[in-house]
Amino acid sequence: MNQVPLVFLGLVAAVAGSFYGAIFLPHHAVGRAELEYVDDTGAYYPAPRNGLAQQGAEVYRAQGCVECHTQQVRPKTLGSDVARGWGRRRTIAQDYAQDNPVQLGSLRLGPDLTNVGKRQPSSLSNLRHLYNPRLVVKESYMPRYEYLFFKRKLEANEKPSLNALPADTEAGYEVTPKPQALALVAYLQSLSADVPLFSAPLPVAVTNQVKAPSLTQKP
Amino acid sequence: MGDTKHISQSASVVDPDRIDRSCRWPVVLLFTGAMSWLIIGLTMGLFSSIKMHAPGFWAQCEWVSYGRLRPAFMDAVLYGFAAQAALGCSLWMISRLSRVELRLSGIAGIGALALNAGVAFGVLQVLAGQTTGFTWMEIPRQGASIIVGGYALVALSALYTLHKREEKQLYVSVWFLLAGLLVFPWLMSLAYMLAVVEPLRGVMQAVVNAYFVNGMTYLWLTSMAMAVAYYLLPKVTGKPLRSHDSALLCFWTLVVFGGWSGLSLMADGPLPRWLLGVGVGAKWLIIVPAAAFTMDCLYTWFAGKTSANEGVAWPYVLFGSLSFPIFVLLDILSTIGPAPRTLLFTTYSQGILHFAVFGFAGLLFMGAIAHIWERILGGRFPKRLPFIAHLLLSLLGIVLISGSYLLGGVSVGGKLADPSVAFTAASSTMTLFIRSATTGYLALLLGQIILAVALLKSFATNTATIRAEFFQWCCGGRSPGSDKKARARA
Repeated sequence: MNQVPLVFLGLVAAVAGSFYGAIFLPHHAVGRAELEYVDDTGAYYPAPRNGLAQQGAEVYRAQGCVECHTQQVRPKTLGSDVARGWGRRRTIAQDYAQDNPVQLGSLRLGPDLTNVGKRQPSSLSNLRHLYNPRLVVKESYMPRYEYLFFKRKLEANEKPSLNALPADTEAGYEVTPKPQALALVAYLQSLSADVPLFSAPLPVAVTNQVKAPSLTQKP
Repeated sequence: MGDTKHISQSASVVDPDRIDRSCRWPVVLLFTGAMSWLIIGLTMGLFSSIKMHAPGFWAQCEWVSYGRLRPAFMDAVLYGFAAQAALGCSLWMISRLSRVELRLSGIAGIGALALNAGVAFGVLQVLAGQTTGFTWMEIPRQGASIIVGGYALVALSALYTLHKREEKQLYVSVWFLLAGLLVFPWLMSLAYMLAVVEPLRGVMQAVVNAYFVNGMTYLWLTSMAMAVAYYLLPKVTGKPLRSHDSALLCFWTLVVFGGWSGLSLMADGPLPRWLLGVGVGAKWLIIVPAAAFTMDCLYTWFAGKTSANEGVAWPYVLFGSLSFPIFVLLDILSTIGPAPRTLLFTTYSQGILHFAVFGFAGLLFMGAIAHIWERILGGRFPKRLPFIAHLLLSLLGIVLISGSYLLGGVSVGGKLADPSVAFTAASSTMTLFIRSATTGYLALLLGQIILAVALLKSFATNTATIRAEFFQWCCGGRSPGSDKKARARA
C-alpha cells in the first residue's frame, strides 16, 4: 500500500460499489414508479397539489418543519403509527411521487403529519395552532409562528377585521394571517396518504360478522 | 512511481521545522476558522436547545426560529468546524509524512478563505429560510458550491504535496487522508446533483440524503478522524503503531461498508424491505473496522512502556479513539431486532450523531489542533490548565448532550410504542432530557471558548516574528520554490 494510485483506485471502486448498492439499486426498484390509477377514486394517485398548497410546501421547507415532524407511516407490525391513528396504512414510495423536496423527516418531536389533512381539516384550528400551539394543545412545546401573522393592537371598541382570528387568540389584539400562513395551512390540509393502493391496501373493516354456529347445544 | 529517492537520505535534508513553517499560514487560517465556526455553531446549538424547552424564547424573530437555527448549527459545525479542522490536519500531516514542505500553500490559503466565505453565506441562507430541506444538505446550492470549491483547492495543495513526496512509504494516516480528501467533494457534488439541482423523483431524494448523511459520517468524518488518531497515537505514546495489517483491514472494510450502509438510515421507511436489509447488514459489518481500530489503539497504548505523554494532546487521543467503538455499537444497537420500533424517530439518532461529531471526531480534531498549533507557531503552550479545563468541559458537554438524547430517545420511544399513551404525554417527558442537553451545550461552548483563548494567547506571544513572516508570505516572497533556488545558490 505504498502506491497512491492503488489506494485511489481502490477507493473509487469501493465508493462506486456503494453508489450502485445504495442509490442505483433503489432507483431501479422505486425511482421510476408511474402514477397509479386507483379504481376506488377513479383518479390517478398521487394527484398534484393545488397552487396555494404548493406554495405552502415551500413555507414548510423554509421554516424547517421537517426538523421535528415526519411524513411517513410505518407498517402496522413495526411501531404504533397505525394504532395512533396517524394513518390507515403504511406509506410507500408511490405516496411521494409528486413531492419536491420530499420531506420524510427522521425525528418526531411533534406528531407525524402524513395524514394531518384528514386528522385536522379545520383552517381556523390550524391557524390558531400555528400562532400559538398552546391554545390548541396545552402541553405542546412547538415554537410559536407569530411572525406568520400580522398583529395589531385594537383601539377601544374597535372590532377586529373579518379575516382575523377569534378574539380569544390574543386579547386586545387583531391577529390576521399572512399569505405564508394561509399557504402553509393549505399545504397541511392537502396532506393525506390513505388512498388504497395495490401494494399498500387499506385494511377492510369487517362489520356484518356471521356468528359461527355453536357446536354445543344450549341446555 | 519510477523515482527511487530514498527515505533516509532525503529525510535528513528537510528539517521538520522548515516543514512546519511552510504550512504555518494556511493551517493557522484553517484552524482559526474552525474554532470560530465551532463557537458560532455551538452558540446556535445552545439557542436551539433552549428554544426546545422554552418555545416562547425569541419567538418573534423569523431568522432564529427552531427549524432554521437547528440546521444552521449542524451545518456550521460540519462544514465550518469539522471540514476546516480536518483540512488543516491533512495539510500538516501530509507535509510531515511526505517529508517535504507544503506545496501550493497560497492556493490552500485561498481555498480556506473560500471555504469560510461559503459556510458564512450558506449559514445565512439557511437562517433566511432558503434551506433545501435535506438533512446536512440544508445549505442551498450556491453556498454549497463555494464550500466544495474551497475544499477542493485545499485538497489540491495537500494532494500535490503528496505527489512531490520524498518519503516512499505511505503511512496509515495517508490512506485515510486520501479517502477523506476525495470523498467530501464527491459526496457533496453527487448528493446535491441528485437531490437539489436535478432532483430524482419522489422518495429517491430521501435515499440520496440518507446515503449522503451516512457517507459523511462513516466515509468522510470517520476517515479524517482516524487519520488523526493513527498519526497522533504513536506520537503521544512514543511507540510505533502496533499493527499495520489491522489498520489495512480497518481502512478497506470501512470504505466498503461505510458506503453501503447508507440505506440503514431509512429504516422502516417507504422502500422495499430487502433494500433496507442491505443497508442494515452493511451497518452491522462496520463492527469489523471498529474492532480492528480499537484493538490497534489499545495494543499500541498499553503494550510495553509508554515513554512520552508529554504534550497536551494525549487525553484527547485516548478519549477520541475510544469513542469510535462506542459510537459504532450505539449505532448498530439501534438497528437490531425490535430496537427500531422504539428508537426510530426519537432523539436517539441525534445522540449518536452528536457523539460522532463532538465525541469521536471533535475530540481528535481538538487534540490535533493543540498538537499542531504548538509546532507550527514554534512555541510550547506555557500552561496546561486551559487544556485540562477544556477537556473536562468538553467531556461533560458531550456526555450530557449525547446521554440526554440517547436516554430521552429510549424513554420517549418506549412510551410512544404503546398506542394507549397520548403523544403529548410521551413527548412531554422529553423536556427534562432537553434541559440537561442545554446544560451540555453550555459546557461544550464554554470549553471551546477556553481553548480558543488559549490558542489566541499562544498566537499573540509569537506575534512579533510571525507578523513579519506573514507579510512576507502575503507578498509571495517566501515560497518553497524560491527557497530551493536560494539553497542552490548558497
